[in-house]
Amino acid sequence: MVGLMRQIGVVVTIVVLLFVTLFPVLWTLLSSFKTLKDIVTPVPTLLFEPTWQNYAAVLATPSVQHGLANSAIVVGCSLAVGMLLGIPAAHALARHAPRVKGDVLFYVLSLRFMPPVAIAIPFIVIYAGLGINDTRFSLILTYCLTTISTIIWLGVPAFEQVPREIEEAATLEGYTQFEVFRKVALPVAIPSLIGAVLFTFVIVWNELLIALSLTSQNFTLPVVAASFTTMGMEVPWGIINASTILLALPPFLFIGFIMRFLNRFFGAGAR
Amino acid sequence: MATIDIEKFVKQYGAVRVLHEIDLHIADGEFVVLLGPSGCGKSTMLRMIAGLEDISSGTLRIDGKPMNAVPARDRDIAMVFQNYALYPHMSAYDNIAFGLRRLKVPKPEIDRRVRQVADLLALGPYLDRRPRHLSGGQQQRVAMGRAMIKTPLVFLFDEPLSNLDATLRDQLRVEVKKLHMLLRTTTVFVTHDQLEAMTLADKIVVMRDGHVEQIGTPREVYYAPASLFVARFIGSPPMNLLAMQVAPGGARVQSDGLSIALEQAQAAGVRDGQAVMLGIRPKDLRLARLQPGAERYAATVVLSEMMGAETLMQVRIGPHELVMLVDDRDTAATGSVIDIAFAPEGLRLFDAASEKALAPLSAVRAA
Repeated sequence: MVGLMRQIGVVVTIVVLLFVTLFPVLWTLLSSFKTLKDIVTPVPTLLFEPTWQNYAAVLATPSVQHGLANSAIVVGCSLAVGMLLGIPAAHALARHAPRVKGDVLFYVLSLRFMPPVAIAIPFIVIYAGLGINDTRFSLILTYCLTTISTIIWLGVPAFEQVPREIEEAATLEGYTQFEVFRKVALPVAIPSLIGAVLFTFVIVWNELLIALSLTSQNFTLPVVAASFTTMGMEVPWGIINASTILLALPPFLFIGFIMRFLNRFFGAGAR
Repeated sequence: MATIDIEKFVKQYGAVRVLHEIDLHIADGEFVVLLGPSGCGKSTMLRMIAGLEDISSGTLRIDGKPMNAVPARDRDIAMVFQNYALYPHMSAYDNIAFGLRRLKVPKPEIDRRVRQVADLLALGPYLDRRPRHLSGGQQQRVAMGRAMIKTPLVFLFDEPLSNLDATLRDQLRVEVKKLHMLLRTTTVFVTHDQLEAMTLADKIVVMRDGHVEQIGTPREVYYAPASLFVARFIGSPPMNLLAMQVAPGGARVQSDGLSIALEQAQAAGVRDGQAVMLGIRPKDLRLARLQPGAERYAATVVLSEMMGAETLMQVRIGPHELVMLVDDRDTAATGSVIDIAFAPEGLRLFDAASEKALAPLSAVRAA
């Protein structure tokens, strides 16, 4: 009897928690398919005539197209640089620098302690001085800080899970350090690394504050989405909802991978 | 084929020394086993030969060439690891072929050699499988195949059998031995299992706390242990050890009513009143009727354990407990009193203070 009560209690708690966290998302999704009349009606409607009008409007907006292109380029480039530098750095730290590893990892993590605004202002000054203010390049440069550090931080445990002996075995077969990295460590660590990269992708894709501070022409998608809320007198709820959904879509598509990665990452520590 | 010369090998982590000036010379084609309890430095020494650990001081020569500064990948050494260390993302075939691919060996040649090695190790049906779909024994065979295929100068084995169950361990031990007889590659094998050491080695190096206790053939370390440590470590059931004193005149040792005659050669090496440990293998404690002419001692049987062809009997002479191994047909009932004798050629003397063997090695019987 007590067991049953407990079980019911657990289920009810989970349902309530899920409702609280998921309902706004669901509401946003539903609203993105509603006309403005359906959205602002005092009695919420669950049954309504779905419309693509909001999505069409969002995608037809020049600023959205521009923002999407900028987001893709900025996030793509900074991720590419982050992988190119962060993954080998993570391997080097995991394997060849046991004494400095802890300090380096803490330093890398501490980069993330700072409020983004605090680093945005000095960056504006520096970039203005270099004449690259409000360019995609300056934004890429800034995001590289995030991508490189996050990929290092998540990549070190990924490489530590690769048994040291298999790298030693490859060394004894005559392979150089770089070949051992490329042919043994990298392929074995790749499932964890994909997760690390996707996680990093989500962080920079959703980044708003730095993009808002550093750009006025070359803005990214989050900046555009945020700007909808301040458009004119009448709040275009349908468009806001549609743009939110569009913005959330890419990370959402990767969520399966990320979940597997998080399980791997945290599961290893618990085991 | 290669000789290995190790001189004054030292491994030091900060202020901690784990290997103390070890000297070892390994002849071409020899099978050497580094034997000792965990933490004695045997694996560290193996990894130093491989180049996976730096040599703090001392020199390593392979085939006469100094190796200290040569990186692991250029030493032409193959190693088999305790946990197999197979590449999990490659099939058994690719695991074995991996080293040859670097050497740009032509494909048909790689294929021929992989199949040849796989035949030798009975791996044929499993070549397409990934390591996680292979049993422990199969994985270790793949690891051995990977080591064999490039015909290295030296084979190193780091406790390769200790993760396997007993039956498989016996099988693979025989295979390791056969492979060595076939290939005659200089081999260094690390283990803490004295049975493995005895069966495989041409030469056993018994190690303890970063020091070498004894280097010798399996027979030498078994019959003529150089120290109490070796005497206790080698042999199962272990050697009986009795704390005794050399009686005046030097021809006998005694303790608590037990007095045993020494052979002339042994008696010459002791002084009156010296505290000694007397060692005798359980097999060298005999029933008196099987050892005519020897002094007899009345012993009470405390316990007897049937082990198959032989029986292990715990007996007591006064306060002294001894273990003897007799033919099962000669078993005596628990509580009965039997006459036993010490086979004189089986007696070993150790100085109680230095724990070193006292008997001159020339006295060791050639078995």
